[in-house]
Amino acid sequence: MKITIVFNGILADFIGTERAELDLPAGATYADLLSEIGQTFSRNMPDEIWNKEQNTFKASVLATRDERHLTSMEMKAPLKEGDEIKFFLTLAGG
Amino acid sequence: MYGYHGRFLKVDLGARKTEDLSLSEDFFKRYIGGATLAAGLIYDHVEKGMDPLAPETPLVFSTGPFTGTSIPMVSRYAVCGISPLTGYWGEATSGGVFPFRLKGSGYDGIFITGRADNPVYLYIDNGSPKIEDASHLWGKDIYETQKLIKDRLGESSVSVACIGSAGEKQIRYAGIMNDEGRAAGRCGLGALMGSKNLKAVVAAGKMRPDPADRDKVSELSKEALATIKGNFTSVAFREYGTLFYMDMGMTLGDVPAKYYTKSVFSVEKVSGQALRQAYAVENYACRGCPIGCGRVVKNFGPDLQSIDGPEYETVSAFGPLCMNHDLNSIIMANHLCNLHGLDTISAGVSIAYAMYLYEQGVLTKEKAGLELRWGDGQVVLKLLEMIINQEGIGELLSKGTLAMAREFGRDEGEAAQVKGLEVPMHDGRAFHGVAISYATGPRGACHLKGDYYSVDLGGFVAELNILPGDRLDSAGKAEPAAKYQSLKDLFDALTLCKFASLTVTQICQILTALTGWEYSPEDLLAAGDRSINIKRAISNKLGLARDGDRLPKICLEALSDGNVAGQTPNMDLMLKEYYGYRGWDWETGKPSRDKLIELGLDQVARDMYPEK
Repeated sequence: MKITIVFNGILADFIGTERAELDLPAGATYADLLSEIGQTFSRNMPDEIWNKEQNTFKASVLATRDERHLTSMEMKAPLKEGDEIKFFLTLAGG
Repeated sequence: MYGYHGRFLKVDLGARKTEDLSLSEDFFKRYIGGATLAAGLIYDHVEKGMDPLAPETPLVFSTGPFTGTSIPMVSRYAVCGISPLTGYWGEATSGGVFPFRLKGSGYDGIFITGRADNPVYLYIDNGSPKIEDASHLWGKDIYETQKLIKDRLGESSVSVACIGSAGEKQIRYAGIMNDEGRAAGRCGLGALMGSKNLKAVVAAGKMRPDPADRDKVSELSKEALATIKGNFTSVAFREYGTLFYMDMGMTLGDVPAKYYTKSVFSVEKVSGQALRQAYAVENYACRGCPIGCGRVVKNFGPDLQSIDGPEYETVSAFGPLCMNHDLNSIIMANHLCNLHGLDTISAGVSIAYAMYLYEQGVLTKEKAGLELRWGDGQVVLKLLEMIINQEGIGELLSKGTLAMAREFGRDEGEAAQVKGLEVPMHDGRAFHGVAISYATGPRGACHLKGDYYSVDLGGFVAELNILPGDRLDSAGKAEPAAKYQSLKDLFDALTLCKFASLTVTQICQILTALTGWEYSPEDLLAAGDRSINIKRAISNKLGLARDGDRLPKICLEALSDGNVAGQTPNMDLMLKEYYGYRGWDWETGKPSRDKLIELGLDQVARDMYPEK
């Protein structure tokens, strides 16, 4: 199934990509998505963002779908064809 | 004394007299500087029922121990008085070069009373003050005013803080502008300046107080610069300005839309990226700042080759809050507010309230003079012009949302304000720590001391045990929010930019190296608590009680959609916890006698609790 990932704002600047489409097997979860992201993009991720040992974003990155952040339950549930997952650096200000 | 000149300039504009006001080291130690020091000075001059715009009401410009030093991100000043908008303690801060020059003028600040017979400006150069005629500047916009003064006095050596027509007309949310479009925007202190016939304050000079340990200051400056440059938030601020928060904030339900009745709005056209993609944008940095979060929009129009770009608060107020996607109109609204010296937050909120009242059928086309449709950028601009020109419905909108609710006989809970100051662009329903900070802020709803969202998003303060938690859980939130409020209040005493990512330990070390006074993180927190309490005592004198510590109903009603649908902070629970931490009396809303004495505010304790 096709899953779109979007790196928002400053995150896109770090990773060098704003949007990408990934092909994952049916039933893949958020953890599988992270694994794919790790293989494709982790070399561009600063240590402050990506946990290389655990193959996951650090707490400073927020994942959202349909403008809502993913709960821990949703992260364990299978993704759906056509899902668009956006990633934000959780910086505050303004 | 190290780190300070040890004196303020005292100005009586009515008598056209100036004199030095020497202050003791103890006084500086107690109140540190900036807005807190101003509060210490103003406290004795405040009386119940005092008219904020009366000649005897003080207006204070103040710097701090950090101002004008080599430490990065410290060129800031505070301007303080009684707010013409709220009737309580009022303060606003700004950056730029002006603060650096004000400290260089040989004074730690200026204490102004009286009303000049004719428009004047105050010029201080290397310890030498003059009151000059400003009749030719009255009616000029802030850019032209600054240019005319600089042309006369020397472009490279002076900085100007001035009012525009909004301040001259004493519009209740007029601000004070310096270094072109830098704004001490909130609380209407531009109106207070206008009421004194004071068009501008001009600062020049190279007088710098000695630090206690010059080598240590130099070492700490380098360390601070490295810390700030290496911080991710600094990178985001540099790339997108404060607007970088727009899309993430909306995702979290933290950006209010449609006059606080929604938190869903497509922000693609008004985000930091949109600004950078649609316009030629350059950075503006205050003196000594490695970030440069300010935006300058180039080639905006045939007559506007370069204008100051809008900040997050401004874009949110004229954008989502009015359901307006038209970034061009938002940039123009920001420019109009700058040009005439008007607070963009109170202006945007008042316009959004007018649109809300129009939708409710309360404010009609006949009364308003035009249709006030949500999302119409041209209507936003027209209403803004009417506010500035004091024309038609604009005159009422210029008094703020509380006056508007009263005029239309509406429930005051519909007016999006706390203590009369319009609610900024973060939503207490998305971060309960923000809700309690807004409700209790020293100047009313304040985004600069109510930024607890920073903590819950990971910007914790380990040394003071202010740690991230569940942003939607009210229990246990008030105490860390109160501590964080105290810490941020102290930034405006020092004066340190809120965006400087220094640790509390670093701040203590810098303060010690500059002043020679030993400070631990706990001492620093106590100084912040003292700051909150002296400002509170001033507002108490002016009649503030506990019923002033509440968020309006419009900002508390559960939203039907968005990330925080159905969420409402438990304000009663948080307010009780907050009062417990502060040591404030639940019945009167005043600091308790014991708390005042604990904080070294003995005189305030004696005034508030006279012995029988």
